[in-house]
Amino acid sequence: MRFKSLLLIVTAVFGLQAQNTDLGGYLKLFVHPNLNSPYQWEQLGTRMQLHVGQTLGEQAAFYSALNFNYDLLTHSMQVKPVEAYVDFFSDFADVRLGRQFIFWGKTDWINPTDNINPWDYRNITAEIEDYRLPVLAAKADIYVGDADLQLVWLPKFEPNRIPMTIPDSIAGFPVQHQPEALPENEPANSELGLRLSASAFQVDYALSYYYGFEKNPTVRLEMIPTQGRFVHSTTYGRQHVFGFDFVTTFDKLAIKGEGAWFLTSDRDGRDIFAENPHIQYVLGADYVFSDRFSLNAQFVQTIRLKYNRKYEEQTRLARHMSLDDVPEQYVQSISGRMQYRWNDFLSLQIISVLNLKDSDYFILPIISYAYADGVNLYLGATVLGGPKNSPFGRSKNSSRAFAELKYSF
Amino acid sequence: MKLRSIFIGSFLLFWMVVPLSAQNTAKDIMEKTLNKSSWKDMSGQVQLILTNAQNQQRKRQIDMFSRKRTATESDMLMRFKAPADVKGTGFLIIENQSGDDERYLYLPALRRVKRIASSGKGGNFMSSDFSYYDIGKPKLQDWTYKKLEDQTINGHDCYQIECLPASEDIKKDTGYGKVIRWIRKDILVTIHAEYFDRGLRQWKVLEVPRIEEISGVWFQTDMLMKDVQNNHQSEMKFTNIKVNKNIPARFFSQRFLQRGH
Repeated sequence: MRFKSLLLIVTAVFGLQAQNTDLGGYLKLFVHPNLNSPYQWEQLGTRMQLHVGQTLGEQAAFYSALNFNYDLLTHSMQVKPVEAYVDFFSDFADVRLGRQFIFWGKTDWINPTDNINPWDYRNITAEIEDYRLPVLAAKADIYVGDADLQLVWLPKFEPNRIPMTIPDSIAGFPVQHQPEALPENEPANSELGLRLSASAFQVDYALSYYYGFEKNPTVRLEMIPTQGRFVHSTTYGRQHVFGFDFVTTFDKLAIKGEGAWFLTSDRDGRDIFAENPHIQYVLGADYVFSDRFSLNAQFVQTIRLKYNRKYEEQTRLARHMSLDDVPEQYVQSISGRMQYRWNDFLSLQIISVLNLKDSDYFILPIISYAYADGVNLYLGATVLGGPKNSPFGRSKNSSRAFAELKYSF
Repeated sequence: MKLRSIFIGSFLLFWMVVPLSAQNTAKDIMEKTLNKSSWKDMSGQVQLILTNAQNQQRKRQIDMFSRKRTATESDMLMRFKAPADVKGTGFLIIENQSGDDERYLYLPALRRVKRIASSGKGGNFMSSDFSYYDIGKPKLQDWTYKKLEDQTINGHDCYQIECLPASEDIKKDTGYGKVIRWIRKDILVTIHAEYFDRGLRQWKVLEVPRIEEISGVWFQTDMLMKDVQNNHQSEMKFTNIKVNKNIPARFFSQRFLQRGH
């Protein structure tokens, strides 16, 4: 709360005093009805974002954005910092310190190398600020010729937010929920990232390394027969991620790819609850048919390493667990994005992901209507579906529509 | 017999030479027009006004920076300043003579630079009626030229030059089957142009209501492009133009594109 107050004061002071200060923001009204229970609002409220940026010559800059969220369902007000950072510039390096977004990767929507800012899967809308969470970080970009070496240090781990409900009882047995075990706030639990970007022969590419915690938790739900209850726990393991991404263009076509090797905490694949070491890659292409119409299509594959299906099944059976959620060694998905602009005012974007094994899917259609310069209406939906035990099928109750009116100033 | 041969020969030579010399004249005018600019780099502010058939308008304020990297290649960086919903959006074009141009888009909402495929030279510049070809410097060899009858436009004596694409590729890439330019004789600046589609139907009309000399270079500081087929128009108004300020080469990079200021 002190941090928020300080940000408020800093924002006000910079906003009012400095001459080379850029003050702006937006006001947004939003309503998100749940698609599975249409008479229920998931979210209903308003948000005002105020941001202030200031440059101090060529050497430094400051930026801060604060959200003032008013929830009409609970009649509560929340002040939330989005970004707050200071930039230092020199001829050969740029440094950014503070709460910020750092996105890696070149493919669309699915980025194996992009592991710094967590996702909020509970709140996927038209705006990235709603579903990606800023992190406190120190970032330095060192430039040598056309190459950029980026170093990132994150003092505190932030996990993904996932819509997940574990019931209080299963088959008549109570479930004991243990508190989420986040890594302790100590220097030993900080995270590191390194990324080298360059271009050669009309190809932009990057090599990356990330040493941090797994963004998705390891969820354990174990029956304790002697106590007649289930125990539910959530932990986060350390991982190394080695990544590579590239993009090149040929006229109206862009070819892009991205892959990463995740060396997870379950190195030998013996923990049935934890994610095995794995490789995930994305290969795709954008094609610009015209100024109004473009398409992106991608193929995604995850390959689990140290995989032993027999061991997975036997261990589950020994623990009286269902075999429905035994992971596959090879998981394939396809994703797509379509953008169509009717005119200066109206456009449509559809993002979709389909997992090939279970045919579970995620679809995000967004219609944007520019009522006037700076005034936009967004209508869309986050639709998740598929079999009950599939990745998207599990979350289908989170499907919702959204309507948002945004006035930027 | 000999005289007759000389006469016929002279007659044939005359008809061979006359069209060639006319073509050369038109090409000379275009060459002088294209090569007369003396700026190495420039910056300025652009107001882009899009108006549709219902007279609804969208206005964009853009900071624009450009430099000539070589005689035939330029770099251009643009940043949107208004309206607020697109403020901070940046666009970088690096022209390559030997291959495809590199185009990078920075969307502040996404916080990342994306290398994007292009919609070709004929693609719309910033969703306007100007194509990338229209705002760039045409390559002399991409077109063949014919000098039409001189005309007076808004009180100015003008050459009238018909430009035809030199190849099917140019025609396909630009979308133009023919362009006619009216070039002021005194300063060699296009003040009116008509663009025809590949079926040679009139497509767009360019008007240049304002021309200014800045640091010895003539600039079209107000350009109005009307799409007569779709009844849509775009106007670009330039202000605060500065030339040859030695903008460093590193400014035209992804680093500066995402810096935003």
